[in-house]
Amino acid sequence: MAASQAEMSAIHQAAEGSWPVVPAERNWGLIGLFGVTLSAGIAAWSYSIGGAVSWYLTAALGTIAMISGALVGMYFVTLAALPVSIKYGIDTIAASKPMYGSRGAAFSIFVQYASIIGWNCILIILFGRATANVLEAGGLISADLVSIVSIIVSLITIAIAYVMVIGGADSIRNNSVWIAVAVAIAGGVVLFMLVSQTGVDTIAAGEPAYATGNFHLDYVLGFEILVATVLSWWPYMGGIMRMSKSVSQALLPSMICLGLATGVIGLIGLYAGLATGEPDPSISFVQITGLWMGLVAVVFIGLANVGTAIVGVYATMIGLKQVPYFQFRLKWPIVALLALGPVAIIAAFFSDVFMDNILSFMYALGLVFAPICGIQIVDYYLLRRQKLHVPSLYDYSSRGRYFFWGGFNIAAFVATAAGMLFYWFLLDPITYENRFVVNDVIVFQWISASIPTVILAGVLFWILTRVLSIPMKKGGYTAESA
Amino acid sequence: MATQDEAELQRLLQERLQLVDSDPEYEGAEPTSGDQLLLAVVGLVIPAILMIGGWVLYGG
Repeated sequence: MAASQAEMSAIHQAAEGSWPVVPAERNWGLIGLFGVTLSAGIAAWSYSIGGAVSWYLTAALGTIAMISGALVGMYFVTLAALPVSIKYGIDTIAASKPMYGSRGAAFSIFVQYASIIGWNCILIILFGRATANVLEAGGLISADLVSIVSIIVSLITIAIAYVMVIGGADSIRNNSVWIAVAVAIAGGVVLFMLVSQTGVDTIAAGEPAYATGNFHLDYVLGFEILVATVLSWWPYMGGIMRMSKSVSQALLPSMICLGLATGVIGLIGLYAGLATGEPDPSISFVQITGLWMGLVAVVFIGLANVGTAIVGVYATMIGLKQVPYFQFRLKWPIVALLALGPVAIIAAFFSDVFMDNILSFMYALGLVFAPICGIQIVDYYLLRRQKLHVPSLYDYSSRGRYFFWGGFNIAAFVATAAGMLFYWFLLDPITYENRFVVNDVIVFQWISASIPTVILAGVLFWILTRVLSIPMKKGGYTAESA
Repeated sequence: MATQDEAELQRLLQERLQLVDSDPEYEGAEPTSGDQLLLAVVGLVIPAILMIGGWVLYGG
């Protein structure tokens, strides 16, 4: 019964959540907007982002690269997704239909789904590991049991999350403020213990564990981690920002509370990683805080990570329910399984592999979201002159302007694929290899990967639209620019 | 049941689209040049200065 009620509530939220919001409903003032964006921006995965940067950079350079990367990544997301959502009161998934097509926008839902699964794996495995490490530090379990206890804690956490979301978790999404407070407290405890125990000098002198020795390459690798991870705010921008009254009002909350906050909170992970030589926050935090404070930190990390994960699962489920085919055919517990099942499989069988390749996941976010941002910027500003046809956003038939070819815009998918290939050429997320070399100079170390990918995907999309979509009268470009 | 709900959602969507269509105030303002400038300063110029500063201070 509860599942059925939750299901209907979710279907309505998913459907109505994607509908345009009228001006009378856009009632968030500047303070409200700062509060909501800050509570979303202060999330526990930032610790892992900072831990990853500690692989390459010292505290001073890491601080600069993280702040800069966070702002640059957020610049592209804000430019691409914010004005369209505020002008028309629509979420990012609906706003992606003019570029990917009425049915092709399912790609946006898929990338949202995949990125949240990745982030949830990080949060849940991190919590399992932190708990096991504290238990080992307290002598309650032996070292050889750390791995299995970590998996058990992760699976129990996933089971709790599953029960909460299928039981009707409407209230969960409203608790983001308390989750942000828990994240900030956990970070504050670790930072205080870190500075009081090891001192600022130790942190400043900390050497990155996996630096290549090439200053430019290390500097840009650290910068790129932040650009790439912050780009993954793209699917959420519209849902948050469309309640704002104007672009002017929403710009700074977006840049500061979503972008900069990710970088600033991540600094705790960077400093902890450098002070202990351990980039994994689940280990470094416990090493810093010791047993008793470690227990306190684990409680807050647990609240923060589990809360963040549940909000993420819920957002993913709502996203999946926006696919018209899933809306009434897929039951709520099954959708919950789709959102949590992959996390459980990874946590149970591949947790070490996943956490050893956490950096690959972060760079892969850039590979996926950079072309999307480039295409949206070109489509909305240059090709459509900031004008959309709102009824066509909800029309899946061939009468809708965004039907393109069977509901899919070939130009956007080709440009996205080319952008991904270009990113891979500059920086392979799996092997970290830089294939674009000119006269023995690694091109990535001067231009990074996400920024040129945004530009290349955008330019290619503009060319393809000019030579393909517009002459064939696909996508409503002539009607909208008239 | 599902068909009924589907039809109900369709009806509500059409109502919402009509509301949008009849509201002359529906479309919010586009970003001004000042907005674009502020965004570029915070998102591109400041990070560029920081990165170049880090390069000059620690890169030598």
